Amino acid sequence: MALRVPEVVWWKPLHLVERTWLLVSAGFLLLLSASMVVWHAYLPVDNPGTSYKVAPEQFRAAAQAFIAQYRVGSEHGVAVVRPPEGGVAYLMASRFQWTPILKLKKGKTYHIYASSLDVNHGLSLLGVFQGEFSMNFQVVPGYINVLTVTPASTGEFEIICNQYCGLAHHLMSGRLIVTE
Amino acid sequence: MASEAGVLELGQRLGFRSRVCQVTGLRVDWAAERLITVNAVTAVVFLLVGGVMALFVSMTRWPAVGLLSGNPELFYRFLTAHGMNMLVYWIIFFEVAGLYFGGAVPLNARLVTPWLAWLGYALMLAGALLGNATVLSGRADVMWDAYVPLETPPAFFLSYIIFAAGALVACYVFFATVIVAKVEGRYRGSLPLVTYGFATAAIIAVVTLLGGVFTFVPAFFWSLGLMHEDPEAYRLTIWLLGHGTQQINLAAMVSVWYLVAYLAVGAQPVSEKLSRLAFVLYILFINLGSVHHLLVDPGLSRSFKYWNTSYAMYAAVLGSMIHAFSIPAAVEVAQRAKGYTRGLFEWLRKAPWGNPAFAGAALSLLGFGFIGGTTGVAFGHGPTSILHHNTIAIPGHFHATVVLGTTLAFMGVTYYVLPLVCRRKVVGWRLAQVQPYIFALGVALLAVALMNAGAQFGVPRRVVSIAYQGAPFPVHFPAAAYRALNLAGVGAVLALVGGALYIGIAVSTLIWGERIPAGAGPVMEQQAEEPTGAEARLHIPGTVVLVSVFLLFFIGVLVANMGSLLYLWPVH
Repeated sequence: MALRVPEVVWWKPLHLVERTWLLVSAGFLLLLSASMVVWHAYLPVDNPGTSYKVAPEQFRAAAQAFIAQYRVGSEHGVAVVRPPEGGVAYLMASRFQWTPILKLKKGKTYHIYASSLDVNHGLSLLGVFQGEFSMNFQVVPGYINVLTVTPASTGEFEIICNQYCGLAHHLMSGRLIVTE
Repeated sequence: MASEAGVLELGQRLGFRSRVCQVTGLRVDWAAERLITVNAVTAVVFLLVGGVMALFVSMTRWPAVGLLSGNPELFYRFLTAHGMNMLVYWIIFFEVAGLYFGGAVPLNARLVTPWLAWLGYALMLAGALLGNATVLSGRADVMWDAYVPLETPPAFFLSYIIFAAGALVACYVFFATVIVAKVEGRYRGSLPLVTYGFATAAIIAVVTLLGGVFTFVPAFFWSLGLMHEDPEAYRLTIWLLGHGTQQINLAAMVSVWYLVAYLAVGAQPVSEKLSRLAFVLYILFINLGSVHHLLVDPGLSRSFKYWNTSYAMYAAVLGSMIHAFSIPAAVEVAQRAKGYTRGLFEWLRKAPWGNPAFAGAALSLLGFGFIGGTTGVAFGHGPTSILHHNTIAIPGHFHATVVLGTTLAFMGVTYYVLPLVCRRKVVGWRLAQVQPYIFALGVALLAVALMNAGAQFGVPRRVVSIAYQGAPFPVHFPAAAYRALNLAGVGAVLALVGGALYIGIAVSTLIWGERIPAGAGPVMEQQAEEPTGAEARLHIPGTVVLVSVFLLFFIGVLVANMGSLLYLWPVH
């Protein structure tokens, strides 16, 4: 009885139906655990697992060198950069902008080095499939989050910040361009 | 044996000021009664503050209304205050009331060191007032979690430290009460299940509060400029605290489910062994399983993320799967013993749905299980976090657990606390009867609509508006995303009405409710009945159907989430 002291011996064998539910639940959850290994091996989408520690000023210097090397233009004062196919691309978050605008090729794989110069930000790439579904990653100052990504559709994609970063958080936006 | 009898005799000679409850026959310590009432009333006051904040937040994020869209600073301030008042102050004050109830009343025991309990109360109140003052004065528009290195004044972190110290004192009083009750021979054998559940909550609370020490003490010194704090280390430790506290809520909520099932229909656990095993699983595993907040973070290896979120977290989920079975099973057994034996579901149809306590607990169980629990597992499973991280799907999920689950269960049990502990006849009984339904419908609508907006369209959480007017690069969300947010707005209105009704009923009852004299007759329509002995054979076909449907639904939610990943670009 929930509100009363139970009888002296309450450690009794389970009824068949209880045992069955316990085994079904445990089996279901074990399968769920095991499935993570399967997703890791076969799904093309996986959590980021590579990262480096970096001082924000060091990251800024590396990103600016990258931008200077591969710059192809600018939009609203933000550099447009075409990184080498299969290479490293830097993406800097700072209050309240994303720098630079990366111009990628569909079907090619890039290592995006995402980090922040000030506080936590949330990298949210919108509408990756026919204007729906987003891809979201945490951007933390002091760490490079390495995102190995292969764009699967072409167009201009909107980037927003979805980790509260200050009073103009709702104005932090950027672009990512994918061409054939 | 002689010494045990001696102790028992000693205990009986140690009297304490108490009364005997006319419904349960339990001895209620006068000091415990006062502390339960004061903590619960304080909880409701903070629920009111958090509710006013909820009004501003939800009416701002309802695109058709956009209340504070011209004043983002105020929106972020109120959103910060909303999180702190609801998630921390309302829930933990109510849980402390639950601890004092669960520690003293079911054991016929006295509350040990009431003065310490009052000290704990004073500390918690001071922390809550300092937190509200710091945020509402505009010095900390940082959200409740204030991720370092977001500029945050020391007073903000200090308010959490003071509040946590008070909560720790309350846990101490609870443990001392349970141990002294045993020593004084107030009960023999094992703890009643409700006390066992609250003990689970208290043990998790102590572990969690240690996480709070690791989080807020360094952050406090960091905010004073005395110490370096690593941003990712802060995120890791705050989620040891942040997710751990959700397990306190879970254990307390499940205890309330068992308590209400007993009071409303006389349900007793079918297997004490199984139910207790489920609570032990919460204690052993859940604090490990908090990395599902950090799945797309840097600084942690993929194998650690998967280890932590797979078997560590799922062992705790197994605990919830057990309760999802054993509580309906207990209700079905009790109802069938009363003669509601026709078909699969006569026991369920004839359940006391007009009793707001039962309705609150039952809707809490259904909402938590189907909407909150399944999405919690799905969002933390494998790479699905890429789809949901920091989108408004996350508030959608946790409003289904903490609000539809915990808050609604606490609202439900209030309809027993008022007559049995505060000894007041509930004012506005007819309104009370519909209150849980309005609230549950509103929060369920809000939660599902937010999850849709976040998962399908990537609508972000914690922004004042998704119009992005004045942003350097315009952002266009599809019309369907706005429709989902508008639907969430309608849900929020219903939830606010349900919440206001609850606060109105509780406060009116305490002020104007007719006093119930000691020794008076039944105070509720549904009285606890002692079922006729344990069944030799367990006959629960209705529960078997219910949990089977639940499992299929669960699998469906997982498949839908995993399936959505196929729309994303390859990434790792």
